[in-house]
Amino acid sequence: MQALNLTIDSPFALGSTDIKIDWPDWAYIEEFRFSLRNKKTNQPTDWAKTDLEGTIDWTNYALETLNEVYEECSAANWDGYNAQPISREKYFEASKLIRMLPNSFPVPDILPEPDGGIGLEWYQEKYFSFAVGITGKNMITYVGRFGKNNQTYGTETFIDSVSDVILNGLKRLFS
Amino acid sequence: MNQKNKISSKEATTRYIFNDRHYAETKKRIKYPAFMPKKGETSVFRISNLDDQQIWDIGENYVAPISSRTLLARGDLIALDIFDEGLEIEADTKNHKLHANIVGWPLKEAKIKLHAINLADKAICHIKP
Repeated sequence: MQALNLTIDSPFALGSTDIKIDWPDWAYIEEFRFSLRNKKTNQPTDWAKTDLEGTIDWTNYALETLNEVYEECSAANWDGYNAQPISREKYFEASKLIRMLPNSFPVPDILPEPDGGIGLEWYQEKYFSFAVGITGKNMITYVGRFGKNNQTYGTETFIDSVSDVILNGLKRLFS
Repeated sequence: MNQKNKISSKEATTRYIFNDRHYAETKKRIKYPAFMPKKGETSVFRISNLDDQQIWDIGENYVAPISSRTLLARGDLIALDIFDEGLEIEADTKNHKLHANIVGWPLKEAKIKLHAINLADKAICHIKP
């Protein structure tokens, strides 16, 4: 089996730590990164960078928000109506999706859903929005509204790329 | 359903909100997960003929203790807005005479989300004073 070796400088002690992680379980990397954040100051770092074209790099900000949502909603009844906790699978899948989304679109709202899911919503105004839902099963649901009587919805496979249906929906919303 | 519990399209309903990610305070907007169902039902209260304080009192004194959460906001909808989505409202007076559930949700997740988004768009957001 292939393995990935990481050397991580500890912020708490002198020296560094060698960690061996079985390939390709990136979930452990995500979890480790998340646990490191909890032990630190909990302050966001490197939130927003601007490239030469003026596009806001919101990926880190969105990931920080996702972490907050995951922490807040990791126990049942987080909405007062017996909502299910957000599962690790859905958290990791949402994290993967956020990393793959182009920064040319605005940063989405990251919303906990009562079935333990995570939604990403781009809301412009009444009747104009685009939302995707993370299922944790390599599928994402989407709803696009491009006017009062112009709505579309469906389900798309999500494994290693964001489908054109999602990207075209976002382009249409922001065109 | 007896006549007393039949809900007319003009009736006002409200959904109490206990999570601060389910509404936008500055824009006074309800976000769609607030209306998503749990086990095929979205709990609401019938608020026609109640004044604003009475509506908050139900949320504060009845719903919040059951939910073990702090009441933060509410989203008001006219029943017609719910019926327009092809959904129904069923009175559920076992524990409170004004309680009801939005039912008739479809099975497909994406379509559930579409209805919840449309309801959230139509809802009037009130922040708890």
